[in-house]
Amino acid sequence: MTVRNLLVRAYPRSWREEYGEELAGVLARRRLTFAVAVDVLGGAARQHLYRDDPWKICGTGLFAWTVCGLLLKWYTGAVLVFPVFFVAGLWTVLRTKSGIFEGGLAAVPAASLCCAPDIIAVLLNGPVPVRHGGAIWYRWGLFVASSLHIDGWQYVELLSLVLVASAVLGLAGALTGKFLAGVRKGLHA
Amino acid sequence: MARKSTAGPATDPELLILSSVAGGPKHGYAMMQEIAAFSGVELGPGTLYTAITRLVEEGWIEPVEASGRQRPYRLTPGGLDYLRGQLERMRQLASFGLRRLRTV
Repeated sequence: MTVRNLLVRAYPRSWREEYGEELAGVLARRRLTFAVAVDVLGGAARQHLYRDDPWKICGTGLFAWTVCGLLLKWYTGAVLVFPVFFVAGLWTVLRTKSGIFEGGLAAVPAASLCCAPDIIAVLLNGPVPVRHGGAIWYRWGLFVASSLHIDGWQYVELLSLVLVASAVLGLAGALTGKFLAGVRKGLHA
Repeated sequence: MARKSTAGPATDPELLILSSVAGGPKHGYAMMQEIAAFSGVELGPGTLYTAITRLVEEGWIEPVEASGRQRPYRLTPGGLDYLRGQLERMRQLASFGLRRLRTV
């Protein structure tokens, strides 16, 4: 697979079906420079933003955020994922004009992607006491006051809490989205 | 990647593409070449196809059936109206600005 093919494959599948062959044709007739590659990747990022489901974009970002948090041991960064659940709900309603529940529940798969690296880390490392800074035990353990050790059930509880929190925040985002859509409609009326 | 030392409506990729296809149907590569020739703006392939996608979705240009890898696009009546309106606004702005400059 050539670099040109890889650049075309950076675009969403639905876009590639429509324009992929044309873009490949244009790239084949141009000298491939760093600036051209950056330009094409920028175009691909824009198409992902316009076309992909908001939960996928939020979930991918959260997945990367969690991996970075684990690698850099920046556990307090976990708090910052919660506003993203709100954004996932808000964005879904504004983008797809879906209902409040549909929009709100869009945050749950994003939260699942967010937790996935933690689950993998625990599976690889095994349970580690909170005070020793073990992946998820420490990470989500921040929300459990004065708890230095978390057993398996508490871990399940914490993950469930994250999923429930994502649904609640997603619903709040979806409600806000509906409100903003109503205001926008009123302004244009 | 609209590379030019100045920015503004005269370097807007969508207006440049509409102006290019106003002369007849063209495929992406032909647009890039013509735009570079008449405006000096070198559109990158990513910028070009981002703009083409938006113009098609707005209904201002449409693909023409053709065999081969490159598909030409043509201006629609809606695109013609839009382009005319935008160029008219630019003309008004240019004549106003030039009048002002004469007084400086």
